[in-house]
Amino acid sequence: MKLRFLCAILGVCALLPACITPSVIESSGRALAPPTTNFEWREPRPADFEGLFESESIEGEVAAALWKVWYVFSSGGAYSGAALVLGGTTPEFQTLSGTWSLDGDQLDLGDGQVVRASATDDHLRLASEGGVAILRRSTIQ
Amino acid sequence: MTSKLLQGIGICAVIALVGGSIAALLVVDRRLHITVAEEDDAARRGPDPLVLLAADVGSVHEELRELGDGVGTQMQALHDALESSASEREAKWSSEVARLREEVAMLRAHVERSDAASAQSRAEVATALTALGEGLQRVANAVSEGAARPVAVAPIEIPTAAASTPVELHVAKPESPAVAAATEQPAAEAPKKSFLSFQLPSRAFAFDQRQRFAIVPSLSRIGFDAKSTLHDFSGVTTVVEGEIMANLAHPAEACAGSITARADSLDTGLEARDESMREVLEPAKFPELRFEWTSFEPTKVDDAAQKVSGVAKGKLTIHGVARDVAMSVTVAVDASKRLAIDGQTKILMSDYQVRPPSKLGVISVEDEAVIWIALRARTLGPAPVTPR
Repeated sequence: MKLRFLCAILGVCALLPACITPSVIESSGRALAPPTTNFEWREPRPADFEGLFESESIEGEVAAALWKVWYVFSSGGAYSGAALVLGGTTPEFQTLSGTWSLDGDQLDLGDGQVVRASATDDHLRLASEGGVAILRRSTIQ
Repeated sequence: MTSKLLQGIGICAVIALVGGSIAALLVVDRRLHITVAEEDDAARRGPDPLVLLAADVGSVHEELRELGDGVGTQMQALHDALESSASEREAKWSSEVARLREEVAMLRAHVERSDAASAQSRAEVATALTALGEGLQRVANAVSEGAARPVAVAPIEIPTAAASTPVELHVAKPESPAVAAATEQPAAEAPKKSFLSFQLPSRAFAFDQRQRFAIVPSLSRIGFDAKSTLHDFSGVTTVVEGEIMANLAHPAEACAGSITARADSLDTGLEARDESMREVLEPAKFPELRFEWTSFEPTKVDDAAQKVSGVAKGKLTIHGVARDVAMSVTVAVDASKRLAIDGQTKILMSDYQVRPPSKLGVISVEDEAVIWIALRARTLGPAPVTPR
């Protein structure tokens, strides 16, 4: 009887490590990926653009110079934007304004700037040559 | 009666008037002498022309004398001025000649120095050509071994001998095409790239330039791997910040930086294990985990792939104890022109006065652990120049 109990205890002890999932992070998985794949994007609607947005991530070649962007889209078709850009040796702000229109997933920002847009309820994804910017809906505090 | 009286008076008056007239006539006749004669010829003919001519001649003579005196004075002044001007010109030309002689002497000395510099330059060109030949030989050897990549050999630029200044020798460094493209600086006049209607410099990142890089916390984390008797586990934190300065093309030159993480933010995935870890790390007392990056010894610099491997050296501070460490590190440039810095090193917890956690003497953690970093850093622009 005692022998059976001892064997059972030893068996539980031997199997216990297998029951706990190893939590070592593989060396290939140590780096964090940009949060560009964690959204279910859909074709945007005009209402998705109305409001204030700030960039959550900027990927692509432009990310070297473009640190952060903000946009305010109004329902009347006007928009205003600001970007923190690495200029020569110091960062500097650029601002712009214009009118926007949406045709399918093509967002026209004027002056021939047409970008491919997709949306979630509180995010916009704007893709153009050189990079992708993911904007998060923001509020003025 | 009256009429007779008046007649008498009248007669008397006439007599008196006649008498008075006669008396007056007699007096005038005695006193008044009237001469009637012909007009004088001299007075009739006017002034004598000879006298007038003599007077005119005298006046002209006087004027001529005054004029002669004036001309003599002017001629004397002119003579004095000419003499003065001649002496001034003589002095000026003397000094000019002296100056020209000095310049000729200086030019002669300069030519002699240029000859010496040219000789030195020829020697330097010969040395550079020898080095270049050796480099080409090494490339040729590498090519023959099948391990070389295309190498562009830049031309040697030698200024013409006509230069009056000491001759400068420019030997362009051989670079691969990729490096040549990467070394172009993001100058202000560089063409702009438009993205979302913003105008961005087309080349904000340069591989061959000493730059400041800031850790991007949202894309970075550091951690450790530990082994226990139960199973192995990792602890990680994304509360990371820091800055690195480096020239990726020449990483051995003045590479420096610091990376810090919050000790109380380490997460192993199990609350009980985190509690045990905090007991030994004492984050309230030693809140920071820190790596002071002081130097880099590259083992491989791949300009074309924009990738660098080597050993980062510095001081690792854990639990308030700082120790020198050497960490194997790989630095690569990702598609977003950010640095992907991955590295790891082994440490002994006991070196940092950290007691490996143990539960009931059965579940214990090994003293040896692997510290690793997986960071992303973006350029902040050129770093301040430091003397090498």
